[in-house]
Amino acid sequence: MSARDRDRSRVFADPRNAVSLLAMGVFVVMLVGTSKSPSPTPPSPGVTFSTSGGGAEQNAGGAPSPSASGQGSVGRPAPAPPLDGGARASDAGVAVGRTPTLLRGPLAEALPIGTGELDALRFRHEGAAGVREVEAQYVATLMSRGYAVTTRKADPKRKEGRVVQLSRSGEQVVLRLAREETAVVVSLRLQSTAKAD
Amino acid sequence: MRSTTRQVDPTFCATHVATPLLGGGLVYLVFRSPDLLVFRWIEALGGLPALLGLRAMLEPTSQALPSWVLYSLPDGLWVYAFMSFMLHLWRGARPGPRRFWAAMGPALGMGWEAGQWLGLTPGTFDVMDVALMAVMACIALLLHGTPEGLGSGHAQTVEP
Repeated sequence: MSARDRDRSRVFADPRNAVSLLAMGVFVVMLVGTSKSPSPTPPSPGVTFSTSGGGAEQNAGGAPSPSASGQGSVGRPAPAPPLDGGARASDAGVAVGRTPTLLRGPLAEALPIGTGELDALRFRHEGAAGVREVEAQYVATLMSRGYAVTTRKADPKRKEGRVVQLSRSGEQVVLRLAREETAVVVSLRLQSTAKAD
Repeated sequence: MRSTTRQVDPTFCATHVATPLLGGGLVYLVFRSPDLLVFRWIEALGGLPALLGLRAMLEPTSQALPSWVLYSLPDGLWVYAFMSFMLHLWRGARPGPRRFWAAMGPALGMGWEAGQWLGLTPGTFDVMDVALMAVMACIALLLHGTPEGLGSGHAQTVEP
């Protein structure tokens, strides 16, 4: 056996190889563990959402039946405290849907602003291509309802975060969009700007 | 043959391995979406209620954390921990094995990201993730790559 071969076999016999392999295995498990878990149920093809606001839980805008899941891709109740992303748990409504059908439901109707029935909605678009594309759809829909964009900027605190403020007479909508794992999460905060009297 | 355990300094491991591992893990467990697979594992182990309590307690601080800390730093910290551990474990060894094992951290991390980009591994590709992994790998290399250098010609640690 040559000296080179002896060196090589000595390297392979080094117990640090086993330790290193073990560490590599742990590292891979960590990478896998921090991946998104597979969905036990396919996402809903439409938009379902649950809402609360003004003290009443309701089904707004003729949308499909309310869902309390809140975690569409997981298909079970949220174990949260609040999820990451732009929308917090205090945002009342949670929706699950795919981008092409995202604007069914409440946005297809007049937003129920100032009625005391609804103050926030939260949509989760699983598999949406990008925050900007979802933003464009929401803005286009809202503008077709007479809203004008008053502010549009990045939200550096959120991944690919965006904040868009739109308003029309007596009403204001604040859109917050963010990337959350494989989904784009949109929260709409609805505010009345009309004077109380 | 010299014992492997004798070559590992517990203080080094606590500082440069365990701390970044725990830091990165904490960000994932406290601030990231519960859709992650690790939450299923923790649930199966019965630790979910305690974790949810911790999330509730620390959640307000997420408002103050920038996006790159929440989404990109954890993987960078793990790459740092892995690379530091390998550089430490293989210090004084021949350059070949030391280079190989030290490179596995960034290679796995960035490979995982590349897989996401290609749609082969789950998750979302983010160039910031790759950038932070590269930065943390460079930091590990600068701090621990010398003096028993990756580039130096000969070093002998494993003795018969």
